[in-house]
Amino acid sequence: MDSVKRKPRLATVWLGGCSGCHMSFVDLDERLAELASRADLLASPLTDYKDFPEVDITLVEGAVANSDHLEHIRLVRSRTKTLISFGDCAVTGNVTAMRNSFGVTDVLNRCYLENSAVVVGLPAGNQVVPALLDRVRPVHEVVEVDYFLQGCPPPADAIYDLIMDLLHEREPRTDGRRFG
Amino acid sequence: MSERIVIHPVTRIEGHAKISIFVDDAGEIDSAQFHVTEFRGFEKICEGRPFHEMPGLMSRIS
Repeated sequence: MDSVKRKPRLATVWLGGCSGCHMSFVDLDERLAELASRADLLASPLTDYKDFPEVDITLVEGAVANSDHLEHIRLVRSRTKTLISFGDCAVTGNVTAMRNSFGVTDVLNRCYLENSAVVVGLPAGNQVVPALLDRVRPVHEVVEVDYFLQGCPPPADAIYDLIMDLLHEREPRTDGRRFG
Repeated sequence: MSERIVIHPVTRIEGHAKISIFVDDAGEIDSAQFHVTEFRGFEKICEGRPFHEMPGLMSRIS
């Protein structure tokens, strides 16, 4: 009986970031067609999903900055075989983590009280908007990370090389580079 | 039966958002809210930094 090997399942996630890494991903341009033939993109901000599925590879963009990110990255890790910290915010915290030296109160006050003209006031607790974490953290401080792809954003070539290495079950050309 | 339906996450947008739809006892939509659920604090983190960092820094808003 023929057993058809299913295509690897790919996902991308963005936490506290600018989506620039996803723009770089989209900069794969015509190589996206090759990627589509080799893997299934099951969940991504570019698709419409509500429940994160079981996948083989997940690219995680952005740092862990609020309670929703914390909950989501733990879920993503539990349903992913190979998790990649994708871009500098995920790898080191980067721009998203710059608020760590100021503290949550100062940062919120500057935006919603001092700089506000029309509606002055901090966002109300409505159980929907997630709470900011005291410290923004890179992904590896919260869950185990398998590979790091640094860059702000990582160039499309680097993204392509890493994903293709993984899809071909080759050891990625990261030379064992780790950030945590 | 009055309830709140939360669409989470809102997909295929740049950024993160949720939508709350409040339904009253008669099953009619009472109100709806759009929640932006991300915040990084660019207004504060640029303070004290050299002016020439601003283009690079602010372009990471989106």
